Amino acid sequence: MTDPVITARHLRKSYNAGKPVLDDVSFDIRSGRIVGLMGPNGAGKTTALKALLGLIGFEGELRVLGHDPRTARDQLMQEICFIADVAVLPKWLRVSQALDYVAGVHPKFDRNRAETVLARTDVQLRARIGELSKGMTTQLHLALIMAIDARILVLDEPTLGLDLLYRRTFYDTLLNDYFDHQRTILVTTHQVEEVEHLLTDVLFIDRGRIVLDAAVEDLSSRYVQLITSAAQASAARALGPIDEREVFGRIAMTFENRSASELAAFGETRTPSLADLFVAKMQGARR
Amino acid sequence: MNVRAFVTLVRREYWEHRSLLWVPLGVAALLILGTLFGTQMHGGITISLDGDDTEYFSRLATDTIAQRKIFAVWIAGLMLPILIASLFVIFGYLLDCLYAERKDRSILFWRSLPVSDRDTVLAKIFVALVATPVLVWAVSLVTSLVTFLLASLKLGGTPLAPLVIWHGFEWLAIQATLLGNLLVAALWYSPVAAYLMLMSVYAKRSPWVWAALPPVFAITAEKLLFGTRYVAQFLAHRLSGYFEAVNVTVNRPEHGSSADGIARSVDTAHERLSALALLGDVNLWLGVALCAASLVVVMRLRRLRGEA
Repeated sequence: MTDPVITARHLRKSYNAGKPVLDDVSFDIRSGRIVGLMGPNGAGKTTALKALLGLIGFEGELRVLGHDPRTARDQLMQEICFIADVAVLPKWLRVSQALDYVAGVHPKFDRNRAETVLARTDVQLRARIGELSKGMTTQLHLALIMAIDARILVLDEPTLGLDLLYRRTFYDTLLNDYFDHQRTILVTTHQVEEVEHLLTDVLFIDRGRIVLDAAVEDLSSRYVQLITSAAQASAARALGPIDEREVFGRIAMTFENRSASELAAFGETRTPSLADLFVAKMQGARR
Repeated sequence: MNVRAFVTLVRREYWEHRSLLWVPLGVAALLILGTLFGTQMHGGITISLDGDDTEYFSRLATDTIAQRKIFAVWIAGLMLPILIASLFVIFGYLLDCLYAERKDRSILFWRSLPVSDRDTVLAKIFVALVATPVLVWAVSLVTSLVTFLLASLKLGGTPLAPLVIWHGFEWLAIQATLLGNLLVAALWYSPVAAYLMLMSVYAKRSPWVWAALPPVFAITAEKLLFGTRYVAQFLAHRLSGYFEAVNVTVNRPEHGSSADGIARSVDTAHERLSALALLGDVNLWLGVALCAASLVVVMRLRRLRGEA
């Protein structure tokens, strides 16, 4: 195992003395992983990202590439790239100016690479960002980011409001042309299905607390989904499912730390999808 | 902060606020067109030839010292309209420069790059107090050459011909004086600039209203409570101080409209071409200190505002 690129210990953050948005959050993120930070609205995802990026103050201990984001934001931003909502690119900026700007301020920006990526799209260099469609703006943003030789890429709901075609292309480009196991990607999204196939690790967060922190390859040994009939349900229920729901007259139960062989007697077993697990964990946390 | 990054930050400001470029250029174009088509206006000096004027210009034909003076006043006067128009644009720029990025949320993009709040704020104040004034100076320098050329074509052989004798040394000297004046003006107005940036970074909406409220409130409160107007006078002096020090308008009524009066008016204007004396005013330096302190607050506030 490589050393973590991000180490968070006991992070706390609350706004205006209200309920904490981050409540004793601890996790490690290792180099070369693609980590999905997932949670419902208001769970604290964006706050956690902002803390990593040095955009907000917080309590607790946080090291990102060996830096404390609170005091070393400028050094850190040379190693980290960040896409929030694509709507944050200013409308008055021309595409060519965006390239000039990033080339001027970022020592690790490769302008040729960005232009090569853009040449494959319909984005015109003379165009103002205000004239681009949302999908094209995302392509521009992605082209800028992919041309930066960064160690960590942080994506906050990067495909929000995009149509399916652009969403698919976005992740394909990211995975094929960018990710190379030297880099680390941290992505937050609601659309669990969309990122399921590309993640190596998942972090579920709910109401400021981490409710699941696991490698995707370990999920199949930790979680089992059982599809059973109403008749056998009560026996299965005795084994303590973390979630239960009815699907087409059958009952789907999700178990934690139970083996498939143990459950096979009650029906069909399988590894839950990330979306199932997400729902199970979020509902479990609310019970 | 390296030079390339800083130049990029400065260029960025002109991409966003294009009026910082085209307003000085536009006013310069108007001055040139005015010289081309107008008969009356030459850089703030209105010339309507009556008996006294005719006498003045016939004297001028033989008096090279007076020629140099009126030449200098004329060339210096050309910068005035360009500067005044640019001051309004710079005023608007300062109020907008840290507000617009929050309004359109592009602050998230700017802050996702390795640029500190300090460098951002320094680049913006540099645009307002150094880059744009130097641009105003350069534009007025070119304008002075073009208008002089046009005026000499029009006025050669007329009674006004003594006006259009080229004085190369005076021209160079006046350009140096004007550049110095703009830098003095930048120092004098630096606390105003920092105040506007403070309102720009502070206001959640309508930075114009936020900028206007404190002075209006202070003036009104003083008037109601004490019946005095020291705050108003203080602010008026800060806003007009540079123009009180430098007065290149030829104010004829002050000296009468005889040929002697005109000559004295030109002399008076000529004596007030330079703003360097303002550097001896302790208020200027207090203002610069206030500006520096305010900018530190602006840098802190930009970080805090980025959190919301």
